[in-house]
Amino acid sequence: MPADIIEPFDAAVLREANAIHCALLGCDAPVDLQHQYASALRIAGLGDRVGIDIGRLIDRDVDLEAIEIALRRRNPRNPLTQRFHVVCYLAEVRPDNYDRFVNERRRFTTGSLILAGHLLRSACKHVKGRCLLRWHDIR
Amino acid sequence: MLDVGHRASPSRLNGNLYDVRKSPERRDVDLFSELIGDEFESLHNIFHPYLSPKLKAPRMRFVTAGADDLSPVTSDDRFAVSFAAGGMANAWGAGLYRFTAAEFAGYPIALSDIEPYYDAITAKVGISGEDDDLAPFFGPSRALLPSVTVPSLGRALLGRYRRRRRSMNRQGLYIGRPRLAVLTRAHDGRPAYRYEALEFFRPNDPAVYNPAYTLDELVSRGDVRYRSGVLVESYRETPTAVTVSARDSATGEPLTFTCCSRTPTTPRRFPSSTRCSRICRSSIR
Repeated sequence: MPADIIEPFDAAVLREANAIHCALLGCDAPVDLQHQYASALRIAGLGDRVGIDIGRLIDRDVDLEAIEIALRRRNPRNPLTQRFHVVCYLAEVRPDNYDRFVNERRRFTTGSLILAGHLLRSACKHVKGRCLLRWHDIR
Repeated sequence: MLDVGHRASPSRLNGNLYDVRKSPERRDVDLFSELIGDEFESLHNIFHPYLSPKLKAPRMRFVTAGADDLSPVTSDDRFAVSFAAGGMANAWGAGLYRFTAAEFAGYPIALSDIEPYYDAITAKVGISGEDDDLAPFFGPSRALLPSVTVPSLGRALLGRYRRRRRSMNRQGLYIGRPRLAVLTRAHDGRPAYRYEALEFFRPNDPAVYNPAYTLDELVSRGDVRYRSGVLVESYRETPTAVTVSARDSATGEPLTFTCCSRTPTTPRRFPSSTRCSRICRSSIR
């Protein structure tokens, strides 16, 4: 990472990275990933152009994943989905996440069942997300 | 030859991508720099208009570098412009197919006129493929290298196709191996393909043909005089010379080159095949 963009980072952005990482992978984000996330948003010029008060949603412990799915159906390039993509890319290249992104075992039946389960889960998340959008008045 | 001629920066990726991803420290590779990029190049499509995955990785950015500033044509989502040595073939799919006799129908030239050149290209580039059901569409298989190894899903698909070939062919469906400018054995000083899955991240795999390899060969043999870093803007022909107006692609400084006579009065000094390659005078205004 270029030296001139390493510090300082907005604590709210780092917290955002951590919350999205938790929603995607179920654990806290490593500190350097949080810094990479903040730098990526800064380089893309999206640091301030959120349109959604993600900090408020994190404070209220709202299901970000559900909201992201609902927003993605409405607009695939919405700011929250973009942020999920950034965290996903940054997490994917980390060796400790290799098994989460690459399957090296041949397991057709198990894989099909897992896929079906996730389809059902995504449908439920979508419904939940639409309710949350209304509840939190996100447009 | 005057060319902007961007070149790739060296990559530290070495070995199979999946092995590297599991333990990058063993190969002394910084995965973030190689796969995401210090300027977050691989995140391009999240924030910006679509760029092919073969062009957005950090080490592949040289292929389209500077195009927005240098090209007289404005690129958009539908096509990309390259000023790299070797051009877009630095990121191509390496498919090389011959036109068929039917496709030449109605043209003033016939397939038989072109075939010697197809054969010469096949011999020079090294094309892998097979004499299978697609040969009537792709052309004869002479001088082809063995086909690239097909992964398990592809093998399963081919197996099913072979079992139902007749009925599929009746419906107009034919399946076979691609013809690829990918070496499956060492050829013309280049090594065989190593199946490292790095095509989207590491440029200039020597097993995948790139016109820059032939350009470098011509330059090293002295058949072509090459100057990079020059953007040609226009040229003017006179009976005795060609004057090229250009600019330095890095600084924007105007440059003028005058190429030698191409009249038949001096054939010994300036053979036609290199008529514009000899730069007699180069001046900077």
